[in-house]
Amino acid sequence: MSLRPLIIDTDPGGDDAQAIMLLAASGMFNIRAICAVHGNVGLEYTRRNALYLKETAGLTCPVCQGASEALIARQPRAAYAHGNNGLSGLEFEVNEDKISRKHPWDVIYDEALHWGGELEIFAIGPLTNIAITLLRHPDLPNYIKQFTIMGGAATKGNSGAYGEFNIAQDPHALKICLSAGFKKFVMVDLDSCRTAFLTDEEAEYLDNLPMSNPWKPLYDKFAMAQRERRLLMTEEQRQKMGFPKGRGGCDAASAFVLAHPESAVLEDYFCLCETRSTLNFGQTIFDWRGRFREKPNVTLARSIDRDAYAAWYLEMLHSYDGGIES
Amino acid sequence: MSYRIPIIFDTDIGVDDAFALLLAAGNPSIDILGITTVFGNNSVDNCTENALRVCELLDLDVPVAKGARKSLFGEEKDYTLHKNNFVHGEDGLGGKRYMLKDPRKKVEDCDAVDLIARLVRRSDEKVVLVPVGPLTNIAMFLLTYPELKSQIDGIALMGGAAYGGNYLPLAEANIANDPEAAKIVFQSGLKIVMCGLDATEKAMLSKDDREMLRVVGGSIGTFYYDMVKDYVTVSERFDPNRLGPCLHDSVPVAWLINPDIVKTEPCHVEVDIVGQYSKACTVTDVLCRDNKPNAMVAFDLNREEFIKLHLDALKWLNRNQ
Repeated sequence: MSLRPLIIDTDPGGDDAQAIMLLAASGMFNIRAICAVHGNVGLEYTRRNALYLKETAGLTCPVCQGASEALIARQPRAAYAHGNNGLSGLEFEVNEDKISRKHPWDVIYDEALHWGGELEIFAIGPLTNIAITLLRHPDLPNYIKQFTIMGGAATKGNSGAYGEFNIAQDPHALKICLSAGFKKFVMVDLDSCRTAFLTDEEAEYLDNLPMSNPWKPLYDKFAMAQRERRLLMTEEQRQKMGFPKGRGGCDAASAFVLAHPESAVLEDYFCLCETRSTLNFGQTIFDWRGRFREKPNVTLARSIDRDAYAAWYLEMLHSYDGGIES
Repeated sequence: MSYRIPIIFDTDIGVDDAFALLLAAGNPSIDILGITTVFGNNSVDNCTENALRVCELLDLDVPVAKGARKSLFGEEKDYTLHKNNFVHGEDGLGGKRYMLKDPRKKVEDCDAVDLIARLVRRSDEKVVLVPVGPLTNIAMFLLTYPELKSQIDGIALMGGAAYGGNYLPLAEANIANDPEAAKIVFQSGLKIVMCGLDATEKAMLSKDDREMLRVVGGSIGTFYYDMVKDYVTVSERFDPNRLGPCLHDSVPVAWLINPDIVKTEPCHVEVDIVGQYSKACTVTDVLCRDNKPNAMVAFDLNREEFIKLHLDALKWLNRNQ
């Protein structure tokens, strides 16, 4: 099977890092560029992190830097969840001169034309870069086979009562994406991401794998951060938040849906994004009952096969060079 | 006699409202002090007529007063054109109002807000308000009689949804009919139990349950059986996989009778009145991130026990027949 050409747009981010490592390991994609955007932490970190991830994953594609702020409404960051540098304080050296001088909006469009309709975009941060691309090149959707995002929430949010972080960071950007006319817009929302997780037993097993591969330091930092965050909350609070009974990772879950859509329940809906209300800012609204009489504009993941996700995660982790030390 | 909870039932009566009234009237632990009507499922004139006739059927002798014709900031709707007619039938009682006797009782001279004030003043105990329609009357009562707020024990209402809606994706019909009134009520500081769609959509009346209405309910049960027929059809068109139509408005009454039947959680609820798509959303923060809880929100209910309460009420009302 030929490799699927893919642009990754990301604000790494511990779980972004897992997603990129998983996709690189899958061998299913021809990753054409990694585009950094503001989000979990500021662009000054996400571009460095993106570069480090590219090198760690052994990719040769360019890394570009895009928007440093939301289109319109600036929001606070999520350093509390990802550590000050976005990768839970992992220390590393990269040469930032290696960051491409080309902007994501031009790279994405040029790649889209080059691949003649086969290119896919996987966006797991705020959608500012994609929205700018669409504003600058409104015909982009004609050349995109599938646009997949981690974002939105059908019920509970993690940024206010209903807002999901990526979307709440730049709801206007999602609005632009929703009305852009993508042929296929797959939305892996918070609710569905929370159906894919590693059980405590699986996580413990992975944490203790004697690995010597480039992923390991990243993996360990992420695992440690997850364990530490877990201690900050009672099980009751976690349950109220809607957290899974184990170790989640939204971007990793959405990467799994990108690679293996057959393992997710996908349904088409008409989706809107609220940008006027303060209380509901960035809420994704799905017209479950067809009240707006509009054609569906997203394919929403409703649930993910947890066992398949866990098995894939383990397989991908094994696949890095070095593998398990015997 | 054991303690009976004094309530004022505020309603845009409607098919499920009629079930709620049956449940309240037929349960010895509830003391209905009075009924106030409001626009919503139908015009307030029709709703008032319905309330009087259902009272006659249930042999319920309590004052009935007419309330708001329209929302605080909206226009009066023309219900002859309104699509809402189709959920509860053109007469608001599933097209079966003609089967009910002319009421002996007359509507009160005063309006709903003044009746609430009068009943609250007269009551020895603090009163629970049970609104199951738009919250216009309740908001007006709170605005006009602030000194009586301390005499209100709490508000057990049907309305809103933590997640989703029915009128619009994020708006439940009662709140959508008067979002500003709902905002006033939710920020009043009174104890609120919000029975929204999260729980009320589980309050389904199955086919077997409907048969039981006739079996145990005598003439009252037979009327309810007939009244709900068209409501079933609408419900099936809405969602064919559903066990039956939802008795939304009975849920706050059931909670009053037995709080174990309705599972609630303390939440912070604020009504959105500005959103482009989220207007009338009861924004429910289960974590109470930035605010203290101001409402107990219903998320689940025990359907079997819930239905049984209705059948028990029917039996009780038929005890002398």
